[in-house]
Amino acid sequence: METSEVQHHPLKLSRRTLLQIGARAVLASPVAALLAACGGGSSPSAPATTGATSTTAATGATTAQTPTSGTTGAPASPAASPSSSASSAGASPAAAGMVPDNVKPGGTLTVALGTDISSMEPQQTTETSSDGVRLNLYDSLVWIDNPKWQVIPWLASKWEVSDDGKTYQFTLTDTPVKFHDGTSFSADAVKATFDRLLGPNKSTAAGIDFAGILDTVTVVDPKTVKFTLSAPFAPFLIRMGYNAAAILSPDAITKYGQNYSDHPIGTGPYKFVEYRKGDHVTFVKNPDYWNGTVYYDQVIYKIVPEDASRATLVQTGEAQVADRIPPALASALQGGGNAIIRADHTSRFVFMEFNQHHDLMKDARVRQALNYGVDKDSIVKNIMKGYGGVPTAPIPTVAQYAQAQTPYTYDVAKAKSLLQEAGVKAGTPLVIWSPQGRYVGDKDIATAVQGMMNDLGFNASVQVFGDFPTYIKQLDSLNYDMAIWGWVSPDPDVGLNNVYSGQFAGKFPNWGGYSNPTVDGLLKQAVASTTDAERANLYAQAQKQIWQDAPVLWLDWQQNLTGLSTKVVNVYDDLEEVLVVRFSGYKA
Amino acid sequence: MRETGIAGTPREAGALDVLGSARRGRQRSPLARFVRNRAAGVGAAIILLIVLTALLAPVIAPDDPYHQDLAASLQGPSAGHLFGTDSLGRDVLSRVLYGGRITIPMGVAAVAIALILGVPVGLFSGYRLGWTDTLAMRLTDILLAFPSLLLAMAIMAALGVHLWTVSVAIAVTSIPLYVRLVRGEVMRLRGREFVDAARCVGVNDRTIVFRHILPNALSPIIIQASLNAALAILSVSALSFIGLGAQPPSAEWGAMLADGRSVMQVAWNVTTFPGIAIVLVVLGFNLLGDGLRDAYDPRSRR
Amino acid sequence: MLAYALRRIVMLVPVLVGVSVLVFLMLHLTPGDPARLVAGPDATPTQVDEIRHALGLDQPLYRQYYVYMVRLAHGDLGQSIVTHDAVTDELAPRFAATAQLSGAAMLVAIVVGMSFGIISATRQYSVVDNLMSVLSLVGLSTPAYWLGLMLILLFSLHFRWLPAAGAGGIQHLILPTITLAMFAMATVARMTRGSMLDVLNQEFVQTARAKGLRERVVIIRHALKNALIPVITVVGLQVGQLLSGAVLTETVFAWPGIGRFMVDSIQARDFPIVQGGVLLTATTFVVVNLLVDLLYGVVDPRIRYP
Repeated sequence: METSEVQHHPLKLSRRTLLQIGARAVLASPVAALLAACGGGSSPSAPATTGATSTTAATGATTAQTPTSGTTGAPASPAASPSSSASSAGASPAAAGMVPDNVKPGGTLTVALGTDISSMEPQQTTETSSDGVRLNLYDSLVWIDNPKWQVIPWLASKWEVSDDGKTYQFTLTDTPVKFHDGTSFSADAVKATFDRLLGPNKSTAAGIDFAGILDTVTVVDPKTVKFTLSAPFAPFLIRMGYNAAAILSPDAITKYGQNYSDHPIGTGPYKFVEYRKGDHVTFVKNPDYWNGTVYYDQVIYKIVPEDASRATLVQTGEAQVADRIPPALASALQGGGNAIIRADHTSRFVFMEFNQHHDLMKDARVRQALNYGVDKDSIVKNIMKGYGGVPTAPIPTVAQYAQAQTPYTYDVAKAKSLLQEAGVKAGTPLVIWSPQGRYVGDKDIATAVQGMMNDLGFNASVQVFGDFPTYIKQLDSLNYDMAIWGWVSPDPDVGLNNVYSGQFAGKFPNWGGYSNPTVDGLLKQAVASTTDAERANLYAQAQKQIWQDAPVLWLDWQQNLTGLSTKVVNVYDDLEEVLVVRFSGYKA
Repeated sequence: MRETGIAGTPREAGALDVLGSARRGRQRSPLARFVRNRAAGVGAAIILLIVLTALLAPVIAPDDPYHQDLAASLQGPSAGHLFGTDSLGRDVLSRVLYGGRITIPMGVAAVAIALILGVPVGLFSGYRLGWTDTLAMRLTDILLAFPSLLLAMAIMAALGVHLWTVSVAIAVTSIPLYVRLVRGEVMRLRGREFVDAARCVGVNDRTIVFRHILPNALSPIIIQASLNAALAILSVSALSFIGLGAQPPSAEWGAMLADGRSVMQVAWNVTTFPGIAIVLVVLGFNLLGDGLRDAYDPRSRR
Repeated sequence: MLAYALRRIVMLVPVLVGVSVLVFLMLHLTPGDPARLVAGPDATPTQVDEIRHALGLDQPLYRQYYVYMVRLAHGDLGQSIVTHDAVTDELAPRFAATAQLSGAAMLVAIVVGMSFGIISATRQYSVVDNLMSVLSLVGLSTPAYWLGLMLILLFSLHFRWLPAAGAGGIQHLILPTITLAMFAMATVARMTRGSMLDVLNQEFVQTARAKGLRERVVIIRHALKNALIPVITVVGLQVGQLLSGAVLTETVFAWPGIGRFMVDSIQARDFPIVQGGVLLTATTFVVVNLLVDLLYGVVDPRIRYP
């Protein structure tokens, strides 16, 4: 694919390319920020000035960007919608206090969320929409500027990694930091946090990121803390920037124990006021925030499950931000007025598990055939309205070390012949499961795939689950042939290991049960590797093997569509699909 | 005072009152009045028309209702697609035409199930009285007091989501209506001579109830059933709204309405046409029920 | 009448106990394990067992029910499995929100519905009558959430007159009230019309007219009073409809009520919340209908209570 180079390294777009893009009036704020970053943007003031033009530029970008406009293969490549590919690029603040000059403090930000918050405690769940809400409350030791894979000092001012890659020693910031409950931040807090995360009573989605990797945490002195790993683990520093690694108040841990979520205490820019399940969460400004200016007086997240209502709230100005706008509605927000659509690249990729506990799916030829038999280009172009792309690798193209493979181009004849070879009879029943409203166009995509499966001669049916927790729970039953599932993985280890390794075969998050010892071995070697080149090479091999085995039906990777008031600046979705508002404010 | 449930749930009272106040002086036969009744005529005509188009859907539909053409998604009405296309590029007109084949039977099935379960209970409850009656009444009180949508959700959680479970779930929530209605009728009829006469010649209870009492109580049951069919079809669409309706790619009207609702702003046609279909058929059943009631009850005739 | 009322109140107890048994069975016999949901998708079976034990869900069903009822007798509805807050604290504000919405809808339904019904009945077969009959039939036949979404598009988005969603001032109440009231309004209008027509043909009304009383007096003093009974009955029954139907309206308008919360809680298998919420809703329903029954006597003194 001619655009593949751009695809894997969206951040390595040349400066000239960006300028050209800018000339075509698709200069989104992040691009501006990125340019600034390229031109010595390490000083916080530089992005501030360039960012000044951001929202207006972004408006231009979104209108110009109507995604499917003609470009061949457009949906598949980020290059076709450069503003968005780059948007996540520069959006993350390079440093604290990196907010454009034209932002004024004050006001209330109202965010309309499509789904409820699963927990206010970062160690409980890792669901991205909750992460976005929690990001207001908590800080981690480092901040990951994820498109650049740059690790930025945050609560830790610096760190040293031992030569064997097994010890990480963090020096904590000199700025005095206090938790919302008044407790002082120190090495003890860090230890208490991780002891809790790894503690015997904890097994949560968050724990999966550290269990078996992190061994012990020791306090060297009040300003220094040492992490010892059980084996070298290259992505460790990145994981320290996860919401799951957010530092909790040791006092609150003792006081509230398992009910931390009901009394969330962090060091973040906003303090928790109240949470009413299924209705709203309210935060107020933390006037003593240690790391830069906090703009809003109040941030309110309202749960508005109805897509049409949520979009309307931004259009009428009742809310300033609305997440997860369905692509088909994007055009409604592009006609000028109070609201714009912001399209951000995420590392969310969506696929269907092939249930390899069923004989039918044990045959790699069948799995390949189904990958050939689904018109993914059409799905992305028509159902997702171009806000996304067709996967060209087992992990999203924006992920580190993603390696483009030979695409499974839509080819019914080839699919049929593979099926024939595998001895699949016409009329074989095929049960497809899908959640509703979790991934962009999920139900429609499942229905479209059902139609395409019937074209291949299957007798396919669809079952939709309106409620996502129920869906996850039902996936354990393995009563399906194919089931839509998605994963966010800017970090290749998360993407490859959790989704494709035998370690999780038959259960969350690899229900389909794909297990290939070769792949498992390569993945293990990769996380233990010490050089970048070695790691890249191992991941490349693993991806090649996975691609060949076709353990899942790769469907799409998605852009996140956020409805945004023209009055606020610096709201963005990061690569992990987390909606970040902590650096934003009202335009002056 | 009219019969009221002890737990304060005289749901039947309203319906019965209009009926009850009418059982005096009937000049013409109900059938003749029904035929002359405009509302009933319009209602019957609407239902007939929709049933007919549903039956003839394979002949008159311009397209296969399940044929997807992703490239033609969310198009407005045009010569090629009179009602436009939905999010998967399917012809909305064809889907609306075929939808009647799913939605109407679902509504009718819900009513039928409620009748089959509710009518016998009402009959015996009203005829036997005593503890049978007390038990039946308390059970209906409980069902009536229970939030109906939650009950339907629970039933579907237990039985799984299928077209027939939707009908069962809706039926269960309307059973109390029939039990109470029928019981009231039986109480009215059980003192009549023909019942006494039958009992005297040694006819057993079951025969009396089904052969003698039921035929005399049929009219209000039919009226209630017609009005209830209207409600059942609305309930189908309500369940679709919370994701418990017909599964894709079904062209069930409620599901079409629920699916298209997020894009109403940009593609009005996707919801408008199935919405109109629902309103029409529900209107038809309501008019029919009204007409039947008027026919049965000459005093409220128009 | 007092004795009757007391007897009726006592008889509410078995009904509410029945409701509590039913909700208990319903929750425990349907698939879906709260412990599994609380534990998260990747918990080990042992951890799920621990949580199940902590929640008391490993006890036999009758035992769980007994514990629940003993607590209930002490006014304790338990704690939410999800938020750990007291069920009463969780339900109270939401019930208030739903009561506000349902109350407003009921008021609109009664005032507008009865006015329509009276106007229709006094001008039988006129254009106005026909128009109102058709309107109420359409109101009765329109799926509520569809109506709600169209109102949002029209009045919030297009005209920008009213807020689209959320709770707040009186203006937030208008669209959801109309949406929720539509069905009840149509029902009340139809019932009032039928009932009024019934009464208007009766002798005492003819007599009143013959006495030379003004038509307005005849209608309001004599006819309406006598036509009220079936209308009141319908109103009482619509309360159940409103509490239940509020789910859809609350979802469309993001109204923080109990209906949407109950649906979410069923899906999250938050048993204590669902049990408490169902009991609360059922109690409201039976109490309102008890009041309706007692109201018969006030409206029509001829009614004697057995």
